[in-house]
Amino acid sequence: MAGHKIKLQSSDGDTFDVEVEIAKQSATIKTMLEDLGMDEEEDVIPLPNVNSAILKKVIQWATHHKDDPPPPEDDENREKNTNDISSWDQDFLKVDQGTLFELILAANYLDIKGLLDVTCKTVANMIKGKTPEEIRRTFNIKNDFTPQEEEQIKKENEWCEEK
Amino acid sequence: MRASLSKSDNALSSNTNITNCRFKRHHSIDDDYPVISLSSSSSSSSNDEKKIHVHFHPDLVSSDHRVPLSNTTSQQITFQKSSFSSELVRVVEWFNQLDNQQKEALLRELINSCSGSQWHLLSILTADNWHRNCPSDCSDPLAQLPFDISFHILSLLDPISLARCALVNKLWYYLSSHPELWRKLSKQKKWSFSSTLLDQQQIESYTNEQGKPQWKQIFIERYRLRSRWLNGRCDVKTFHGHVEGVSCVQFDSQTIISGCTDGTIKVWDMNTTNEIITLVGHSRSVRCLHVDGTNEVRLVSGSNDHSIKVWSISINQTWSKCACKLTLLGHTDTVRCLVVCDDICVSGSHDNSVKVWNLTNGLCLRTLVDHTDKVLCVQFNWDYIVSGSTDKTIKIWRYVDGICLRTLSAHNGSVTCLYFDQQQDLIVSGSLDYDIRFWHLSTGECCQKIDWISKEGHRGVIRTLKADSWRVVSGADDKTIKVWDIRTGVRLCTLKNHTDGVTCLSFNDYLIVSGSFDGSVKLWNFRS
Repeated sequence: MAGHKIKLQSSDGDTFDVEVEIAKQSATIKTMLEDLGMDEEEDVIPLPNVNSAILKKVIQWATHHKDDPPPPEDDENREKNTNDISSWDQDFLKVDQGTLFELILAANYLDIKGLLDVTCKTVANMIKGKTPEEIRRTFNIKNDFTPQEEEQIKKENEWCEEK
Repeated sequence: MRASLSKSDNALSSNTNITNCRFKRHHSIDDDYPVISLSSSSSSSSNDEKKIHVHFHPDLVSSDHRVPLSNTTSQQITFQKSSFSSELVRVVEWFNQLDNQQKEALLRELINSCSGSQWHLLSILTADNWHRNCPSDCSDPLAQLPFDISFHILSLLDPISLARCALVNKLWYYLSSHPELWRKLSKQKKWSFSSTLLDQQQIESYTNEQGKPQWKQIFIERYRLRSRWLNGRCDVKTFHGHVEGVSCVQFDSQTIISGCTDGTIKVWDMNTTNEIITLVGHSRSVRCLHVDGTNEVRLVSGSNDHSIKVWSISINQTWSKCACKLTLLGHTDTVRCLVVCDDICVSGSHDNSVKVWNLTNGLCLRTLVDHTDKVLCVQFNWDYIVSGSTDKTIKIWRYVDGICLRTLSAHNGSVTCLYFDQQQDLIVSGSLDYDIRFWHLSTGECCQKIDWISKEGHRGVIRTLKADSWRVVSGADDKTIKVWDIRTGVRLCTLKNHTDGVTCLSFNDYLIVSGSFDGSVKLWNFRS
């Protein structure tokens, strides 16, 4: 099987030749190949939810991570760690927020757990440790609370500012 | 300087061809105007050298404000201000002719070439202009991503960051308040109670009429409780009544039971600090005790009179009764320590032995003999018995047959108190040598020593030590109680209120109860 290629087609019509083993990091594509018995050599797999620029990035990511061991199961009892993003992934994800969100949507649609994890962690890190005002500025969010509502929530939140 | 720079423009004329050069700015002495120099990219004409590095105002579409790059390189050719200015005009004109995609590509390149002072400038210039002409929420992840992904992102946050999300806007408030997020946090090991019973009770106390636990409230109480432990913030109640030193103490949900060197055992009302009952039965000092049960309390006590007694106590609003059900005889000297689980009691004695008893019939099942001096402390589970002795060693015994598996020596004095936890592969011990030591249960290796010089430990004999999943609590002759992180050995807090050495203590997730040579029992309450 190694070295066999399939064609992936983006929403805007570009096709990409990708090694089957790389493409199979996407559980969605894996299911298509296995359950639907698609002929790898001939058929083109259409991915109507992913545009060409994003698909290119996804393939780049999957190619770099093709020999990774499967990601460990989440342990609910442990504290979540978002500081374990590899330096390659950090560089890879130095993109604008629009691209980052599109990558998240693509990883979600293609069901690539590793990519979804690392992109969501990246967004979480953009939120972590910031004040509400800093979060609004980072993501261009409008404060739609009335002063009374804001006062009320500040009160509810007193515990987390206690020393 | 920056203000004057941004005005620098136009009037000057070019006299150098600078298409392939780097702009540099130097502070000149006689002028607040920058002297521009150019690095000799002519000497290396490779493609990547042929970039123009210019720093733009964020309002890039307008060509009014331009700021040249500052920095120095080794090779510089000073060139006239005039030529820089005119080049700048050309570059900006060129920029204005680009389409959006090209402009963005160029900006990315320029930003990649920035260093320290340019980042500073960029930060100041862009701060007020972020998303200036964007539609609102243009890059709000929670507004742009599907609910389950937003939820996943929020579940990656620490509790403080998650709480702060509530103040961002209505959408963030709604999503970040989702009970499932707070349930997940509350269930994490770090925020769970050590006692599964207390954990469950706390959740029940915050469950509404519809049977829904208020997970955010549950978490907030856990957070506050933990930070009070970490900072040593607690309220202290004192129970007066014993006329000599208190030697052992235990408590349940309503009462505290303490044993005294005068031979008496007192039962106290935890809330009122009133004495409920005094048990007189041992002819000499009570050295150790254990209580369990709820309505009918079972009390097991060990004494200097060599005996272990099993009592049954009923405490009601109007009357209390107490009966001695069983007396276990077998030790030939003071019963110094005992632990009870189900119907099994394990005791250590000044006769150098450890005994295993069946509490239903009072028979001694096994006697463990290997220590060469008094046994001062003992703990057990169904695999191991661990004991500490005046012979300065800790011994690990197999529970089923009482075979001594291992002897740990490193303390320079009697081992006075210990705790072990098979799951954490840990023994913690305190000693007459003032040190607390951490050992691996499986290998017997001493992995950490807490002394008073290097680790701000106790400055006196350590008399008592208890632990749970995340903390160790110790009491010593230096009159203090100290709380330690069980994983790192870092001291969390020191509690001072006793006027003499602390001899015994017992604790749960909410409180510590301690006894002292000063004759008092104290309750340290961490609940706010």
